[in-house]
Amino acid sequence: MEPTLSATPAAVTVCGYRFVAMAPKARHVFRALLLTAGRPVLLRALALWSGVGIVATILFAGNGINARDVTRLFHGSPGARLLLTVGWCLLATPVVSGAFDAPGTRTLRTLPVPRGAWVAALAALLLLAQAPCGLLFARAEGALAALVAMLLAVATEASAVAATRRPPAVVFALGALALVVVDARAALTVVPAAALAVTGVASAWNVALEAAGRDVRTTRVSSPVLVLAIVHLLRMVRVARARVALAVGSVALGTVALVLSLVNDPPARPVARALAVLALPVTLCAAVLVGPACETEDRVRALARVTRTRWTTLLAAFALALTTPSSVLAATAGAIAGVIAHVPALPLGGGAGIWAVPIACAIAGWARWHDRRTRRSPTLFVVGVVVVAAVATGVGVAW
Amino acid sequence: MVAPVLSLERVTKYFGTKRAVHEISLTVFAGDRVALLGENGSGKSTLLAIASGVIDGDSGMVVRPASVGYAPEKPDIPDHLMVSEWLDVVASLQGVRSPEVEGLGVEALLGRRIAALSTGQRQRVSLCAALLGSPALLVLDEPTNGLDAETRNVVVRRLRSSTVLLATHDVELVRQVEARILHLRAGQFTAVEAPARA
Repeated sequence: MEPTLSATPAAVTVCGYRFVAMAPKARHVFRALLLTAGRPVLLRALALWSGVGIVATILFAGNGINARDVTRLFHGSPGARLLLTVGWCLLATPVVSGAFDAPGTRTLRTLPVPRGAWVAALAALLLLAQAPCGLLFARAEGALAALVAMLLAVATEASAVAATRRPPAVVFALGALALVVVDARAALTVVPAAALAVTGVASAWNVALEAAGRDVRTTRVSSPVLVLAIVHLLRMVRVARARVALAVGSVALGTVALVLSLVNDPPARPVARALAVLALPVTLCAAVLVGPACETEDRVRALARVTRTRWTTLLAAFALALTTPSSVLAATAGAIAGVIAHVPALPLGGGAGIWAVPIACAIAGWARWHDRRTRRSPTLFVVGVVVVAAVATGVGVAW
Repeated sequence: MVAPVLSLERVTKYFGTKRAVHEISLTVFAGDRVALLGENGSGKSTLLAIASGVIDGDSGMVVRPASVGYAPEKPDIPDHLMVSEWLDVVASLQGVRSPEVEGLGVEALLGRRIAALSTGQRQRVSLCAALLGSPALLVLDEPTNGLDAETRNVVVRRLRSSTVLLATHDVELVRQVEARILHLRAGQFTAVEAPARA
């Protein structure tokens, strides 16, 4: 649907021609932006908010932690501030990045609307995406602190998006992170934070349609399985970053749950506990990443048929592409949980990494079977994922 | 007696209830250049897809060589890859040691993402991929779509020294590559013309 802008015309006559200046109302600009950039941003934000909401429920409801404890940790040291901010921005940047070149925004750019109006509307939309971060600070320290936190997050994320096309834009992100490290009073930080946020959003908007920076060639002529697996992985990294963020978020959630489980109820066999607790997040991680792999396989199917590539080769590449990130994330989760909970990290990380392989292979097989059905149904796919997760958890518990 | 490179015998293909190709028989020998001509929807692209192995016919028999280079009308390339990465993928699956990219002006595109290429540039990459490893048979659907004059001439020279089955509306191309012409209508051959001399 193309956005429409109502305007108050102001006519100027030059050499007999009548020019009409458009002055659209702010709500019309925001509505037009919401209809175009709003959809991808809010869809991705919804996924992020859901993930964060589950983690927050576990942290705040089950373990007696409150928002003030988290902000106290945040203000405790520059390292903690930096770690928490960068962590949040890593999760939220894929949400923000969808705003600047969303379908329909090219048309918006051609409309007689001042660029500043689009930047202001975009900044407002992107602030909305930072809702969980704002909510945390609002509960602990009030509205102004929440606004500052959200502005600094928008500044960092938008500048990072701009820097993928114009590297010097990273300066604005560094400026925002410097303000986070300094941690001055909110009343003093709000103006520079707003300026950095607007500058970051404007930079990202201005360069969004330029070609991205040079890619690094990642393939060489080699084994078909390896090359095809790399093609799958490249699609995840280059095109489906929001899914990668969701997969990381899912395993991060599993890490938190594993740490809490190991600390609150120390088990006799921590590896078995890790397998049971991480089964669901690792299954979700593989299920989220399987979409881009299916898309890639669709694109190479014609080539595979012409070159008479065996189906076992395609299957092996598909499984390798899915098990690699799942296994790496699971191993990292196990190792981190082991270090925090003072449990041997190596067996925990190794066990989790190996455990992810059959889970990811099961998801790969299920997704490929589902993808080849004439009538595909998201519900059926989800049912299969739930079954895999339930079986994996059951095996982990029974270990 | 020379063995055929490609042999189709009474091949039929339906899409739902629509008959795309009906009992077509065709033999292509080494060095042959065969052009399929016909109006839109006459079954040219379907026949090429069957000949290259992308889709199977519903009935009939197809014998094709081990190595086929296929360039569809709309290059279906994963657009998240760089051109060099795509050529590596094709070379790996074709069993070619190193991709040769000279002649079609693809050298300058190697470091670019396929998503950022123009229609003509994509066509050049698609043709380059089809030519990798000098396959025994080239199956090309509208190979000169979107190409500039210089690249078109390179393609014509290359086709004149290859075994080719192509579909096109470009009669001038057919004349330049001196191809045997098969007219197709409603999935059936209606006429055969001897190679036209350039």
